[in-house]
Amino acid sequence: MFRRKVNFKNTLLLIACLVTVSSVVGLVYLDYNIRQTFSGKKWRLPSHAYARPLELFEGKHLSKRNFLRELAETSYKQVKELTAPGQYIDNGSQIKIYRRAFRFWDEATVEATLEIHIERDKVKLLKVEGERVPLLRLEPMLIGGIYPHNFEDRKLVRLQDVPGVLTDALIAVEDQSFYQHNGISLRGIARAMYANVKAGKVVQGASTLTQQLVKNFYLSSERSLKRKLLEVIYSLLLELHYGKDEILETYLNEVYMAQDGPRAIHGFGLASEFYFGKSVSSLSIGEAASLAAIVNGPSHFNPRRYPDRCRRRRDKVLSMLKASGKISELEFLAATREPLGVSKYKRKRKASYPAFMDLLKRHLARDYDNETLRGEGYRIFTTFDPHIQWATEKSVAGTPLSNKPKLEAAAVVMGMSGDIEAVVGSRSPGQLGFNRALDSRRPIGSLIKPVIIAAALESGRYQLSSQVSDETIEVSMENGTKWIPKNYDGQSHGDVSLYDALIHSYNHAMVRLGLDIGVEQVVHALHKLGIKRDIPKNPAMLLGSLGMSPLEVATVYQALASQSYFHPGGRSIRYVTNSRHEILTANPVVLEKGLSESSLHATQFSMLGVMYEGTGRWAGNLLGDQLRAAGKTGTSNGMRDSWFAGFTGDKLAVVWLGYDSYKSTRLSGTSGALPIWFRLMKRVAREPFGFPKPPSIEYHWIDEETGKATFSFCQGARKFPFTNQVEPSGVAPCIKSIDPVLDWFRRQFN
Amino acid sequence: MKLAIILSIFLAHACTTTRKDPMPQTSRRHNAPPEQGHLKKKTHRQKDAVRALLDMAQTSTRQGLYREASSYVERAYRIDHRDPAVSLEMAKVMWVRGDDIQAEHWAQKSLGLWSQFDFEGRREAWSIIYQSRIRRGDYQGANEALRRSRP
Repeated sequence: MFRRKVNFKNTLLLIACLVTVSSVVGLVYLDYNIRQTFSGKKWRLPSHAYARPLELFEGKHLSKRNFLRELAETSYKQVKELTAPGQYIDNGSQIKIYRRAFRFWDEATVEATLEIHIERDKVKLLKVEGERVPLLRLEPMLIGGIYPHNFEDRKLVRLQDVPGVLTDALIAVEDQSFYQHNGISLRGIARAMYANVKAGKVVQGASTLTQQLVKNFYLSSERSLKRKLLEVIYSLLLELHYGKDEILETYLNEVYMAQDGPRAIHGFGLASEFYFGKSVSSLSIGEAASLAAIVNGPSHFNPRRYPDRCRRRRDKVLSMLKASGKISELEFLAATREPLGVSKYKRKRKASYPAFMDLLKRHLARDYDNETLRGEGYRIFTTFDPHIQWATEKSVAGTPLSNKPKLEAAAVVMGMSGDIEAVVGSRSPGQLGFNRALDSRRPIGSLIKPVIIAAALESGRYQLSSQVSDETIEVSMENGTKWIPKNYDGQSHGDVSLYDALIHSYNHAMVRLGLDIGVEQVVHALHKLGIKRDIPKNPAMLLGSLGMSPLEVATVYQALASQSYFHPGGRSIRYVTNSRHEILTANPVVLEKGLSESSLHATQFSMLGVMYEGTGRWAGNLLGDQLRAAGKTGTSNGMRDSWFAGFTGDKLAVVWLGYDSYKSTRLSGTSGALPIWFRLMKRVAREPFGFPKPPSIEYHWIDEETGKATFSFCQGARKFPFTNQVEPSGVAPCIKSIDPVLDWFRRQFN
Repeated sequence: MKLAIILSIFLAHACTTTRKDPMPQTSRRHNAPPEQGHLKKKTHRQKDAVRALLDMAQTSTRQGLYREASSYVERAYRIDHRDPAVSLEMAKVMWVRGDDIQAEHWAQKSLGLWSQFDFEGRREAWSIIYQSRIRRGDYQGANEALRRSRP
């Protein structure tokens, strides 16, 4: 009996010891867990990609329509009177903006009222706080994000930046004894139990802000006794280690506030921008009360979907604030009279600019792994220009795409600093899918011809006026077969100048020229023009069998448009900064030496000729000298691809059309891609192509039919650029026809 | 009479197809591309915004804030990529940052943009090229640049 008693006691003691030890171990584990999570990095912050900042200066071309659209896309709200950042007034030609503060990679702009006068799509006057300034810049438009796997998005705020009325409202409505309890409120539990028993159902919760934070931060939303017990322990431990302000600040950044498509809006910082288009520090009393009201049920009290319900809840919060003496009677009355003031919600496309974002992610992948981008809160300042993108999308959408349902398109627009400003990867630019601008390497057809001309000039053996035969040519291939290229019109044109061969896109002459200088020289020229990858050296590439993506073509033509020093590669990223605003990546504008300035000048001369009197004539004539352009059409075998690549003084654009199935488009470069390129340039280009003569170029009068020297007053005389101090050889007869009038008629009708 | 009609048609055609920038005495091509003659470079008129940014860049350079200086010049370059003073300023910033290759490239670019009468700008550009080459140990090239920097 005695033995059994002892045994029972021992067992009890052992169990008690085990329970105590395991409780202590459990507590230590929970304590460690809490401190680990709370003291370190609390959240995985998404990385955000921004468009280029809108730089405004007097004389800048600026479409008011695009400007207002950009303001709207940057969550600026049109108002009648400016009261807070994030608002603007449209007074016709004068737009007043209350700018938000923004931290760029190089400087921080402060909140300020701006005045911008726009007349006939040009900025006439700029004022900041009433003072005239030569330039200013606005915060850039957010174009996308790289989100954590749970799609949580938040903008962190510090407690000192949050208006007192917001924290007062939150405490008043969610946890009135926040500053008194130690994590749990026994009085609150008793009150809730009484209210629930009285009502016969759950009408009141007793969770403190600390408990709510614990639930969101460490636990699931499962309703069980075990979870509730853990919540209590966690709350007590949290309060043991951390101060009230730190807990409150964490709560302000953690709490779920809204859903924007797949993106979950967390924290008051982002919620303030999402609902009111302003920073949290600029919230009015009414707006702060609204946000506090939403916390209880972001979906139930969604101010956009249920404005009346939200308003009633807001007024309740306001009356609680008044009752606790946090706001005066007057403030209460004014706030309750305020409308909710929620900004208009714009349903965003699934991916706003997928083709550009795709390019950006590939460029980012060179330096960053995906997980880092998903969680470190980086800010990526890109070269994307929304105005150019909108114009590109609009231009691509017209004919011939509107008439051919399955015809695909791609376009790339570059600025002259090598910035990639717009990318369209398909006929439906807003949809993710195959990015033809980057991944579709299609035969470039005659787009290769300026490269052949440049290579020929670079060799020093040719001038632009040099004659080359356009008679039929037969090329023996490596596999023993014969290749006989054909001209577009099916005819041969005798001896033609390099200039004529390019502007009329004569295949026989160009193949003959390419073979004479050597395919290797053409490939070498392509490398000098910025193509880094290996290029197969076969004669068919002289007629553009070489497959290139529109982006690669843009890179080559950017170099062709230069005066020897060009911006290699094409940039999509300017700067990447971390959440502490330190620069992680800087992509400055760099220059690389390409072909010689004399070869490029003469090549550009002939590309200008394409637009003046060649295959791009109609577009060149319509653009006129105000938008002098140079370019080249391209059509691949069987009209499977229609290309146009060209540039003015400030923009370069490449347009491609084709079927994914390689079916014939029945469109040449002139009839397919050129109309789109023309519409695009009319919308985005502002400067004519400048054409300065380098010192290594001399112009001479030559006879256009023979390429021999002549005089300015002779028939058929014209000026041609000559490189490397070479002068035209021979002398052409001055008078070729004794009846110039008849001759003129003959030429017009022949 | 016939000849007069033909002549008047000829003259009318000639008048209507004359471009603002006509090709001199070309018998066939009325829409010929512009040649260098009528596109003589004038001294570049600097925009106020560009001037303001270049001033900020120079201030930053003096304070040793080269990255900021480079950023200001880049902004100016995007506003007016044909302003030779912008390319020259970028060359200076690159030089003080120790990037001799880029300094020379930008100086070369500015040389392609200065008018032949902008002696001071050309001299400064050649001077940067000279110093960049010296730093790289290219003394022959440096001598050539020095020679060309002199009026």
